[in-house]
Amino acid sequence: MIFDTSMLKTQDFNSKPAKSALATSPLAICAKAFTFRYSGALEPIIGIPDWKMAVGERVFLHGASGEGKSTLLQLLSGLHTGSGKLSVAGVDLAELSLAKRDRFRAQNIGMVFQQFNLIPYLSSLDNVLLAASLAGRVNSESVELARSLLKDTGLDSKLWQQTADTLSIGQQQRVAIARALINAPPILLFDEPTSALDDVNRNLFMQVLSKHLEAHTKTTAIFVSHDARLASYFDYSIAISDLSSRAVNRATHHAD
Amino acid sequence: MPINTLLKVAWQSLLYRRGSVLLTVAAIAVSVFTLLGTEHVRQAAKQSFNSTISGVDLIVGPRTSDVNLLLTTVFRIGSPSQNMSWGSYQKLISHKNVAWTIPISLGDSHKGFRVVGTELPFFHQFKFGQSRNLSYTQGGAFSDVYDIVLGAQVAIQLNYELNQKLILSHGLSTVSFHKHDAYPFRVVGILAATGTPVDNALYVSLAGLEAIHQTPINQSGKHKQMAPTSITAAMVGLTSKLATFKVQREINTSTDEPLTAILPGVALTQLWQMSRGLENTLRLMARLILFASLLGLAAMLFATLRERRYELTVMRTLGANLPTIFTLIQIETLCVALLGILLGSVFLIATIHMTNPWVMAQYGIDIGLSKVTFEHITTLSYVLFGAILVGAVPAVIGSLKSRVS
Repeated sequence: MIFDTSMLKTQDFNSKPAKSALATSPLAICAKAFTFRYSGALEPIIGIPDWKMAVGERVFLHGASGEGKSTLLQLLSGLHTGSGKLSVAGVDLAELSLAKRDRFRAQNIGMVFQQFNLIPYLSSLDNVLLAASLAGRVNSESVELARSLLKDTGLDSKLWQQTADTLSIGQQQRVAIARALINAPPILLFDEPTSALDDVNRNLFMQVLSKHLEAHTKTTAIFVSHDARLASYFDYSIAISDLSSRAVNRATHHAD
Repeated sequence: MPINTLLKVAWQSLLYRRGSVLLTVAAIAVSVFTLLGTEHVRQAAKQSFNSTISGVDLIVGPRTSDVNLLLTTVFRIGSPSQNMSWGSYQKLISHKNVAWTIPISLGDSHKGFRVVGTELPFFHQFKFGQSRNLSYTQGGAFSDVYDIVLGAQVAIQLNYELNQKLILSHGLSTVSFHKHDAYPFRVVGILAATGTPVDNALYVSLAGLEAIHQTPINQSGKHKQMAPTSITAAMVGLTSKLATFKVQREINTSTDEPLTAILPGVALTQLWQMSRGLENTLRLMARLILFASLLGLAAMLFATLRERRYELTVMRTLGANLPTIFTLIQIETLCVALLGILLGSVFLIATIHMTNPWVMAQYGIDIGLSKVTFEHITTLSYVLFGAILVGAVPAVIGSLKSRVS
């Protein structure tokens, strides 16, 4: 294990973790007249006139390939910035510098992808702890928390010290979800995480996720998938094309 | 991310790619070996040559070049083509400005080691290093015609002891067909190690050398005492340093016998000037090898960037910033360079340790390990700096590419 707690006690806590905006704003996501265009592209791939998501909402996002679902998740995590307003967890990402967006992402966003989720040469446990380390939130309890999360995912404890490249895709996705949850982020983003899994592993993945979301009612989640059967796990379902064609605001009861 | 976490992640990453990493480490190790080895041998040879002779004002021998006379008489490299006559030597001794002389007579050997015919002044007038006198670990100087004194390396390598009898061979080759086996010499003294060619020779009196080259005059094998007719050269100490150039000019312009008188220090300087071209060529080659290995390092880093694309992107999505990615790649570069330096240094130390006795025996040059010098540190710093420099390009590209999903 490369993240021994003795060394982590010495980490730099001078840089304050980004203040969780959920305490000051009831909206988890708010986009207004927001567009994003890849450099060189003639047309924007994302154009959102008005979109709001309340804290604790869980959305199933679907749409055809190439419509910008993955790009939207990257925008929400601050990997790219567009024009117009896009605030996540109460923070306008466009106002943050690149370094601050990285910090924001480490502390507020948990992400799981379809594949290539893990660092192949790190053990399962170290992959989980890496996220905590990058968020500057590693302490003596982190290792126990990481073990507990891995245990919750049903990953055999014998595999915790095995490097990620020796795990099956199903096992890797369990580690990936444990890693996404280690910092208890207010926002969880899933980019087709079950598309490479068989039915058993897919159901297991969803069970772990549901259990976590039940226990963390203020966690907001956006789940991108082509598998319509999974929509039932979420509060509502929305197509990516709807976001660009009309106002989507299920959070009208929250004062903006 | 804490630096120790980065270090450990970088180390795991290198282990994951150990095949290409090991090849790159080996390339850097070879370049470090060549770079440090060339410099070490150059300095050791210079040091060894400079410390071989001390306090000798002139070396006088038959007409030849300064460097050749120096190499033949002091370093025993090459063979003398002519001798100087005994009469000229006697004339030299009687010169009013000459305080002492050491005759040197070469031509015989014992199991590959040179036999030097000389006289007793050799043992107390000859100095090496910083004016250090010769001393004995056992016994003392020769007093009888068939006495012999051994250099330290000769005694060690041939495992000889006092009173041991040994046979000299005619000529300088390791295997000689002409042995003076009728006239064995008895070991009466073993010199302490000097780290100079003195250690690799055997010392007999001129009378002894003359005796074994004469035809016995009776059945008992006894020779009559005869003065030698010639010697190879003579080392000369003057009564005053101020007379050095005067005596040298006198000898060089004498019409009696064509002789050459050289100042050892000046001849050494000429030797270094002659070898400067070779030194520079070796240095250039070593640097080119280093350059090639650093390019190999950069090539390895570039090649791995493609396969690391997802890994670096995952780190970015977890919140790793660009400086973190850059630092991670640079730490890996430094680790590879440090491993190369370590491996190259260990390989060099082992090679020096193993080959020094042979080099000492063959060339009389002590290339033994010396202390770590400022130049060593500087050379290794260049390697590290070069690695950081060539690693910076893939590190920048890697961190920038990690921004793209």
